[in-house]
Amino acid sequence: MQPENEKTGLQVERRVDGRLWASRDGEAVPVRLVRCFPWSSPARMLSLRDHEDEEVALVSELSDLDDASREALAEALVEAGFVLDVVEVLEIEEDVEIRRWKVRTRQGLRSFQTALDTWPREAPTGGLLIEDVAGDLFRIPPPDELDPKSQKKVWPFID
Amino acid sequence: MTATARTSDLELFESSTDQPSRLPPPLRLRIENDWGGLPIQLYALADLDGALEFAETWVVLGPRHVAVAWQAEGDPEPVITHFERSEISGISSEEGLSCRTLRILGGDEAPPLAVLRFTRRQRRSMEALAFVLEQAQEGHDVSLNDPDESYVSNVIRPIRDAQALVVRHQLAVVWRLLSYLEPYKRAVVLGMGSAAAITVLALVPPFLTGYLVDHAIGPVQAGDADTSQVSRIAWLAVAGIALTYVLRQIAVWVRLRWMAMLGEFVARDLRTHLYEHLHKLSLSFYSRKKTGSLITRVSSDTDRLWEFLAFGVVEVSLSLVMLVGLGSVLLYLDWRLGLVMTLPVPFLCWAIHLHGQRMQTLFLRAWRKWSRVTDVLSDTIPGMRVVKAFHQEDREKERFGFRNYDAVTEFNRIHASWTTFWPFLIFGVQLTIVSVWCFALPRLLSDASVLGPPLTLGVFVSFLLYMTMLVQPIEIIGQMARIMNRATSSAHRVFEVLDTEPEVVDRPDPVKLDPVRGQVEFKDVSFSYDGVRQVLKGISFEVEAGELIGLLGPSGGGKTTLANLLARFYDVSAGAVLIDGRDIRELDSGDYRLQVGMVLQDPYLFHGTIVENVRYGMPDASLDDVVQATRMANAHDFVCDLTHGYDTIIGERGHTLSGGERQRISIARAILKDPRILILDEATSSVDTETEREIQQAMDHLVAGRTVFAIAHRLSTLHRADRLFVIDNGKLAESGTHAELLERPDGVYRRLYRLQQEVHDAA
Repeated sequence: MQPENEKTGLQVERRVDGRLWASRDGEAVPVRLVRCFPWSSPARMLSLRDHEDEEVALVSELSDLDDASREALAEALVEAGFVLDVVEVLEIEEDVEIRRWKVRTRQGLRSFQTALDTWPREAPTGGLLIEDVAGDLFRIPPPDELDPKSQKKVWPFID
Repeated sequence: MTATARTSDLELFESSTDQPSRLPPPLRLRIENDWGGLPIQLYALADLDGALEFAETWVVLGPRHVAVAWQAEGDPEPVITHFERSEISGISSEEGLSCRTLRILGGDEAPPLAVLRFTRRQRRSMEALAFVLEQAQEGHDVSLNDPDESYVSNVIRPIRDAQALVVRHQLAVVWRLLSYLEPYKRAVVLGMGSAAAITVLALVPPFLTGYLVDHAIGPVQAGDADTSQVSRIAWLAVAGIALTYVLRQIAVWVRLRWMAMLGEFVARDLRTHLYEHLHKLSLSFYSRKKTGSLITRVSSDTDRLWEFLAFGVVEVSLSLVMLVGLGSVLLYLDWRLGLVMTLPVPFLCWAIHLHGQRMQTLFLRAWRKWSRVTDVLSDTIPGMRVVKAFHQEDREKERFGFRNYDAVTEFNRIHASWTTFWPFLIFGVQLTIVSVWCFALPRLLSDASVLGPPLTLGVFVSFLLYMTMLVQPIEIIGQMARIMNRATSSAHRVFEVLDTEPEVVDRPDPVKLDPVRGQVEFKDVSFSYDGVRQVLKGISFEVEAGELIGLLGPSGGGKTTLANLLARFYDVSAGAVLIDGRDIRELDSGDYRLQVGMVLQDPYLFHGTIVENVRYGMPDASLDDVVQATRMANAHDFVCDLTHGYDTIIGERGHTLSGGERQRISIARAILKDPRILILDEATSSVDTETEREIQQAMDHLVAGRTVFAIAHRLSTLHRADRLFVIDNGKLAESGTHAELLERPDGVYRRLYRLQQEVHDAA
């Protein structure tokens, strides 16, 4: 265990059981990370909550923590903020009540479906964000970062 | 699940996802061998690895073991690790935007037995697996279906919920739709026959005109014949043209009338069939589908199908006939000119089709922008008080103005596109006409030319007339795909409802309890809405006829589910509900429900008069009985104060009643029905104290002499209960009288009672 952080008295670590633990005043509990502003300020206002969904701590800035805690939280932030990054739009087709997308993401090929009245919204980090029927989020980069064919396909969805 | 439905699930899975549709058979074999032949019970796919790249990690559950299999780099065979279910100390989960991590925990201070990262698409199958493990830790067994079916249905469930897809093949849907014409064969034959006659007759006048020119007008003007010789032929041709027009208009009349009426009949049949079927479906169906979507299916979708059957099918098929007919006549009259005219037709159809696709893209963009305009309206109009209170009118006007301007820009783009395309298309047709002139003129002006033998003026006139008939069928055929898509979308939505089987079905020879005495027994009842998560877990109790039972406990504990099973809105997953000693599934559900009454937290009143609403369950009740029931419900006085008394129209678009007044009308409705078993579901939770007192008095009249299950958060409303059942986490945590439960030092009821007392004292 690292020495307690002077400013917050909070320590965060990934323990051997794989879980994130928060400890303060010598008392440790397993927590999960919730980002209060996942898009506008993804690395600020991080709520650490226990298994009963009670907030154990609210980390205003990562810099409030010691190095080890900061590293543990930064690692957890990567998973918490993961969305599928689209690099190429291969196909968009309308079907009965849904729209079928076939895209190449940074992770590989992916087919997904959106409701016909689900429109992509602007991602605060640039580009478009679209949610499929299962709840997965896909980030489509700004049009000028796409190839011409993909640009043509997403044209109806961009301003 | 039927074999057809299963195939359809699999088809949908394979056409919608890029992941394996089942656990690879060799892997399954290896795992089962490693487990000494024990079968696989459930499995799920973790589609992300530690680096958040796509991966294929299978987590497989058996009766005693869990296996995790993944493909290691450079290893031809998947690596499998196994552990015993008894080693599991818990499950932890962390949820991100599109990545969820499930950790199967081992002992204290021990590394996790498995770490599984997956996208939300796998969420349901992973949750099902985690739920089974968690239940096992609590000592509960969960009955499981076929693992392959569970995996497929869990992954595609969000798509199924979002999409009403019956079969993938469009023609199969159209064929099924056409089967609704079966009872109206005569009308179909008349309508289609007339439509065919219209098409054929349309070809006659240009032909006769050409004949008239070549055999009457031409020879006379050229001095080859005198008027007296040809006038008979000429007048016969004119009479033929006139007769054709008359016959054609008769055919038009027959076609429009029969096909329009036929469409209405089919739409009526579909609507009736659909509405009747909706009443057979279980409540679970209504919890999955949005009300608006169901209303649209009965109204707009059947209307759209009417249009398709009455006109779409005929227009498209006759346009095809017309084009073939025109082509044939033109080639028959003069094959050279015929080719000049018919060869561009496929290109014109293709141009219309491409234009349709372009328009679809433009419309998509415009609809998106238009939805942003309507978003502002649906946001601000219901929230106008807030807008005014915060003085944000200017901001909202600016927001609306910007979006409105943006939408109009898109609509103008659509106008720019079609207004450019159609003149071009017509110009294309005119170019064809000019080409016909170019090819025809040398032949008209000379006895012979390189372009072919001489052309008579009459044949050329016929050509000119036929040319004007080309545009309409070309336009319809170019739009055929769009017409078909619109109709089959509606058909899918209608057939989806018709193909849904009710989950609660009476046996062939149901028992009628006449009357129901009201003795109720729950025998080890378990229930799950989704087949995995158990909302009730082995609940058992007996209630004597005439007892008043108070149901209480935390929200989501299972109280309303228990009431739903009692009303047989759902059937139990395990165990049995007995009414007067008979399994509720043996009873005639309609007859049984006539003897069950419900008063809900948010009472639903129908559009109609107060008397109609009170009489809803007993339409033949006398006015004396209505007044008596309303008086007992403490509603008579306020009803008399209304200008129209019991004849006041209430419900949507009617007189607005307060929550307490509506509740008392619903109590009067229940009193009049005189049920043997009564369910009160949070009937006083949303009203003020004074209203609660009045409703409580009304309910005291209501509960007398029947078996009552009263769900309540306010413990004060249960003061008359004979016994109290505390339902917590799907189990009957405590039962007994108020005094008995208060005596339990660590009891849930005692804690709830104390908390409410403290709140009351503080107030």
